[in-house]
Amino acid sequence: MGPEVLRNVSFHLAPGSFHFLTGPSGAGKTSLLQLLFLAQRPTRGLISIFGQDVATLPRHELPAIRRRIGVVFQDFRLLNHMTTYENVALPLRIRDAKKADYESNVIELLRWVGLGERLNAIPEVLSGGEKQRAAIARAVVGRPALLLADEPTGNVDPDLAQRLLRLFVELNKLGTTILIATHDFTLMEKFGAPRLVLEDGELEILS
Amino acid sequence: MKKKFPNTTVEETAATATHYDTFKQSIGLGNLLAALTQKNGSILPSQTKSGRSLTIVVSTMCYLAVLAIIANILIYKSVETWTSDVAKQVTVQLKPVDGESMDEQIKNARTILDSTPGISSTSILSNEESLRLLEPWLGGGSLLADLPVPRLISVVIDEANPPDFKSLSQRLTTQINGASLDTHRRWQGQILRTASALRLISLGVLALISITTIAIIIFATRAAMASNQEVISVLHLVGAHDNFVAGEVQSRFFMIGLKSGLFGVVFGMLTYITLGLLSTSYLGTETTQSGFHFLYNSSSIGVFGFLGLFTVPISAVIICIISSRIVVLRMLSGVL
Ligand SMILES: Nc1ncnc2c1ncn2[C@@H]1O[C@H](COP(=O)(O)OP(=O)(O)O)[C@@H](O)[C@H]1O
Ligand SMILES: [Mg+2]
Repeated sequence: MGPEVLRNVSFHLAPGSFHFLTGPSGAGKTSLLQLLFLAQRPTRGLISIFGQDVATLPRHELPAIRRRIGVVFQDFRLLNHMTTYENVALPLRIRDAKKADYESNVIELLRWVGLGERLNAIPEVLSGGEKQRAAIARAVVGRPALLLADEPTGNVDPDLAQRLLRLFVELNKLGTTILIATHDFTLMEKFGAPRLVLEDGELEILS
Repeated sequence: MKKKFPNTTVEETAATATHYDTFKQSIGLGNLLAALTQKNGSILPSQTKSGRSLTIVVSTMCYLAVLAIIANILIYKSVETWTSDVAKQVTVQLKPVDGESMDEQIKNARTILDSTPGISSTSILSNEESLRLLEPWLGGGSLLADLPVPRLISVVIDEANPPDFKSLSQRLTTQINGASLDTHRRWQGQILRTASALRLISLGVLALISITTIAIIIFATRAAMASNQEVISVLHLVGAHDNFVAGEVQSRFFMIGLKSGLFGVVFGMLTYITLGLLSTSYLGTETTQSGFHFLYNSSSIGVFGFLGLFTVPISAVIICIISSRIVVLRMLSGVL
């Protein structure tokens, strides 16, 4: 095993709160988010999500928790053989939801993020900003209680970055807990939410 | 402008478990059916090329299985008709003995047979008929005309009430010089033993085909999982249950199994019909012909035999969905 990336990290995200997660590249932001959306298990330490200790959760209970977490991956992870619409509808489809029940909602959401004209485009032909917005739409389509976004403004111009962030703020107003990893200081200053700062494996909270 | 957020609610149905539910769950039937019936296509990318080669391989297995089943049915039916024909008949053989008149021997034999209960009829083969039976071995013509030839009496038995062969045989041999009773039992036993050995072999072949097919499906499922790793990983992270992923993979193998099984039945039947036609028309020598006749004559595989062939597509589908499911669940249980 390599060196410990996260060592002295302790924090609590109150339901409905809005936080930035920042720190230099390689500080462990992505690693921390991966721990939170159950893609990694901690080698030591305690993680409790929605009041449940992750370490003691049996495997078959993980999907139910994952469904309450929306994730915007740093590299999007859109599926290339599906259209934008299908990609965004995926989290609903895996819940056995009926197409008739969600179709109009998905289209409305895609319009809302400005992809109303790109419903049937495959990810390959989308621009970086469009992919980013598709990834965000997929993360929020299931109305998650917790939204984790890994540098969701890393690939877009400052103007679009602000619009995307307003989208998260809207979502936050509807009650979603939000944690956004970013190292865009202008953005953090503009929105002024509390920051979790990662450095050398330690975490510091600045409000 | 106030933006409204989509309020999609998804209820997770808490099923009351019946036996059928448990069964469905255990082979992933619910997820499989859902995956098969979804109108907006499979979640996994279509893999036409590897799917096609796999269909060819599994079809070949199914074709061989169909041939093995046809062989099994034909052997069974042929032996059944043959032995029941033979069992209805016994033969009294009268060898010419010096100083005895053949007519006298025949008369005595008939007297004994007529007085034996359980015999429906007797018919004496004429001298010419007896000669004709020997022709294939000794050749025709004048050579035989002078030879003393054994005479045969064909005896039809009342099957419901068969005679006591032992005492009949004893009376014939003691009371008539040169007489003997042939019940064909010895041949029958040998035919039956050979036939059941052949049928066992065909069952063994079927078992081998099944095991091979299972191995092929396991292999193909692993390959499908590996080539769809990214898709499966994303499905996972958005909260898909293992059963859902298994259903998606299973639906692909379901189609391959069904198609292959039906191909196997079609080509197996074509082979069977072609061989049947060849045997009745212009194929080869008399011996091969009679060989085919032995298999084909009364014994077409019949309606039930034909329906029986559909156990192949059914088994193929079952093998496909169960093997792939086990592999998927095994592989997924290793990831977080
Ligand atoms: N799968 C992994 N296995 C081992 N080390 C990793 C893995 N992923 C990332 N790391 C290491 O963890 C550290 C933090 O990486 P990361 O979380 O991606 O940082 P950030 O997202 O803040 O840039 C880096 O030193 C990186 O090399
Ligand atoms: Mg990162």
